[in-house]
Amino acid sequence: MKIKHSSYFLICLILVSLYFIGESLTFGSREASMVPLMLSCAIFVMAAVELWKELPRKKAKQTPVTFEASEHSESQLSRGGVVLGWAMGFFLGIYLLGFLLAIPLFIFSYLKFKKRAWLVAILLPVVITAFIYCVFEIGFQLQLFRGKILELII
Amino acid sequence: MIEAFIEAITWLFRPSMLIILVAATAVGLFVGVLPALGGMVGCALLLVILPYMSPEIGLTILLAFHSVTFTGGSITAILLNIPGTNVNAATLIDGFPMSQRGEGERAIGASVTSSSLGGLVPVFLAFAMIPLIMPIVMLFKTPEMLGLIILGLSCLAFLTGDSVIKGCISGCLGLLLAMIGFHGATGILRFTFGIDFLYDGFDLVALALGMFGVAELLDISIKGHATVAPKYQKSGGLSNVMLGVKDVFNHKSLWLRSMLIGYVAGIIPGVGAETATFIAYAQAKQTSRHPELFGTGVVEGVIAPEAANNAKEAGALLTTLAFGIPGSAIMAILLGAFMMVNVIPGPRMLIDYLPLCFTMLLGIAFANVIGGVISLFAAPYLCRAASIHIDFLLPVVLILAYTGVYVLRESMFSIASVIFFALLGILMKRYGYSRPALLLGFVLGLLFEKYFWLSLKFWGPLFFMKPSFLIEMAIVLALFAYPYLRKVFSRSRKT
Repeated sequence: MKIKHSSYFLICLILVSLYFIGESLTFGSREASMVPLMLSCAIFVMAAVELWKELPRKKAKQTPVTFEASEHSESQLSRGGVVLGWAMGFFLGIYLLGFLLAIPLFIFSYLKFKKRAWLVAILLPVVITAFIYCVFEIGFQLQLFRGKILELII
Repeated sequence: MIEAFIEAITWLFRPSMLIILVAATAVGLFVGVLPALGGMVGCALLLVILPYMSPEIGLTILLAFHSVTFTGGSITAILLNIPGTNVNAATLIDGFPMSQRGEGERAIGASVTSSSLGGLVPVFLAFAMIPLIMPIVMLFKTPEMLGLIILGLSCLAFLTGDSVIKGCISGCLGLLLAMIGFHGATGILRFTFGIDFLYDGFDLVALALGMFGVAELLDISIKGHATVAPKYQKSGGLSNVMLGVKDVFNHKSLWLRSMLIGYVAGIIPGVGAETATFIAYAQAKQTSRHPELFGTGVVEGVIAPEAANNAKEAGALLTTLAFGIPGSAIMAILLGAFMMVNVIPGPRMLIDYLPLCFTMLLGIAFANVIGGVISLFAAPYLCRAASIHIDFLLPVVLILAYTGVYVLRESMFSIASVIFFALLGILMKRYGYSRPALLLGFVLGLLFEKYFWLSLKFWGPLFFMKPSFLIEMAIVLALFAYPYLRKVFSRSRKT
């Protein structure tokens, strides 16, 4: 008996809707709580119905419950982890180093990770950083985040 | 009305506006050529610069940008057999065989002319329809507006999710996400988890960029697909382009029929552009004297879908503006863009913002003309952009998304919310939930709540018994009942 990955998503939705129902009841004002409460209840009911539809049915020969392994190949999952890692890593880079340092570092390291030529891996970060600097700092006159490390040093 | 029209022309023909429009059109064509991006990701990225512009400029360039992305997409469909957007899929059935036969330039000439005219003529149809629509939309009061929101959400939920329930969950989730933050009427903080950033709720830009921009690119990277495998790259000259242009005029009635099919499909919320183009293609084949040649590279097979795809968007825009019901994800993003600049589409739009409506419509017409001219002369060069690999697109789009969303509120939480919505977007896409319905729910969430309370206040608890509201709900019910009724009828026919 296999449990689909999408069922875990539905379980998360049910838990979130339950939290929202609980929270809505604490607002103390009908006007603030009524619509969110209606919506949370609707999500809860629909997610429960969908989960019930997705749950594996009893068959003549019952097999033990297992995780679904074949839905996405392992390589795709590991690739997903790598790509999300880059997205999160870039976020962390901005937080620590600021935009103007994190952007060239991110592009350069990403392109080298993808085994791209040195020339492209050096030129593209320079061009993109210059573009971002010109548009946001000079054009819109906004100061981009300088990063926690620089904040601590200054 | 004439004053509004003159005001719109004055706005449009300012030098700064013209320069920005030409630039937006060129970028729109370029983005349309890139199969990984497409108009939706491009529009989501453009939302970032919207707050720095006046509504007239910002909204007009957004629409101009969007209106030419399909034109760009047809170029790669014809020359490389890779549609820039899903909408261009019907074009490659005959476009690519023409290209293989050495008639790529002719196919591009026909496709670009058909597509540009398909975007241009419906604009004038819209001008003609506005005076007819105005008295109808004036009849809409708050209960009817509430009904319209439910109807719009139902259309998207019904047509864009894997199942009706998943579509409805998505719509409700979007409405619920809109409730996060400070409640204006009572001053109560709702679902903020003690995070200051959430006092103002999530940003539409973060949601749109995360769900449609970053999620799409991350998903492509996860799947490991190259953007384009540029093995076959035929560079076209300009010698036969005019032949293709003439083809459109030689098939005037086919073009007109296809354009009207697209326009009507656009007005009906939820009918996808893909559906419109394939219907147009099918009618071209049915009415042709040589239907057996379709699929082998006949110019009618290029003219019909291209006339329908841009006309469909013009029709969808009219419904979005006049009733606030977007028929597609991209229209939901546009609806969000309107709200970002405090312009609320719906019945009052055509009265309160008529000059703006005219400016936008004229902007689309202008973009289609400019886009057509650029495409005719630069198609072979634009085609090269299709070979840009995802390895280069991913960091560039991530940087634009993170930087753009950060500057809106100067908070790192904005970037974190992009990542959160990107993850949610990937999961929703994989498990068959409707991202457009969630986006629309988020855009209309607070209006939904406002209209609900106003309806209760002015019409009492029985506001839902108003005949007009009941008609709207009957349409919603019919929409949901349709698949079941069809099953029952088909069973009874068999027996």
